[in-house]
Amino acid sequence: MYPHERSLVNELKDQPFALVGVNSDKLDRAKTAVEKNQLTWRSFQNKPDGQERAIADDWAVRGWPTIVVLDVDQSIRYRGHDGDAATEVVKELLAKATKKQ
Amino acid sequence: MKHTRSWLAIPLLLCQAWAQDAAEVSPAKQRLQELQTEYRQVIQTWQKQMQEAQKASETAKADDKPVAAISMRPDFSELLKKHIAAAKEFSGDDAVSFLLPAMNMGEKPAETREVIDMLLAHLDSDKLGQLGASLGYLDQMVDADYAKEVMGKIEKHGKNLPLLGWIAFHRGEKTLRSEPVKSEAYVTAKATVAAAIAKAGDKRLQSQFDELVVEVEKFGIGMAAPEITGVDLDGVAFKLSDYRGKVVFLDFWGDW
Repeated sequence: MYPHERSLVNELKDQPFALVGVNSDKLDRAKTAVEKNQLTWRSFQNKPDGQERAIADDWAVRGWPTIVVLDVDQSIRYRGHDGDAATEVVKELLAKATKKQ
Repeated sequence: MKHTRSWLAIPLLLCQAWAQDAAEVSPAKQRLQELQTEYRQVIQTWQKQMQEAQKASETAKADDKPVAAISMRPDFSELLKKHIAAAKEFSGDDAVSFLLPAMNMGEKPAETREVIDMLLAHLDSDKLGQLGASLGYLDQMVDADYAKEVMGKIEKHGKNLPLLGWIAFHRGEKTLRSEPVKSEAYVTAKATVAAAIAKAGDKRLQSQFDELVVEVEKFGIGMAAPEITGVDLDGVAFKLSDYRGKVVFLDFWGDW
């Protein structure tokens, strides 16, 4: 998954686009993964210590990884497990957003 | 004469009580436990083989030699035979208890089919819940025609309410996932599935349905994303709405 996400972030770095993570690992493991794979995007901790509910529970996420694509108004435009399909939706949305401007 | 009999009955009764006490675990349960132990052993052996094969392949790579293939799943074939034999030896719910774990042991579709065909002889059992959860995957486990055949048999029998509930769920799921939430097709499908599930009384089925409904109605296409307020990996607070005005690829990830 990492190479796909990294190339997406690189390719779209000048566009109104953001990759945001929700990470399910123990904190030290997540940090190691970020360092080792040089991940540049920001991630929420799914369930920080002391918090009762996980973000994934609120979002009814059952399978990992799950990808949700949001448009500029934060409406859901894709939800699923297919990185390529999600990327396609992202590109369509960006094309629409740049047309408007 | 009567007296003698009742006197004899007391030690016999005691004997029976003792026997029950000692054999609290029924023969079927005991056999199942043995097979579960064997199942764990098969997995452990396979894990060991994987590790050794991994090492061997690293050495081979280092020496520039061809790398041997590693089996991607444990070999359950012997265990599958034992489960089937036990299912033939015992009857009713006991037979079912040997068949359910065997559903995923076969490597070939024909093996899965054999187990499920045997399960279908027990449609009066109320312990078939796990078969219900698998019904939606039968087209992948065996093939689409077989999936239809199995569901047809369950419907013809018509009395196993949990399984009928699962069938309604699997049939309705596609509509619920693809039709707009307010469309007639969606509303009708949801009502049909909900009615079948209410009769089924299967907790796992109920929660799968509830989750599906939340997923579709709250997180379907066009729905507003709920806010996330949280902290990043450094403990710094931020919000999902910080990214309003951008297209967001929200990635629920873990390092696996």
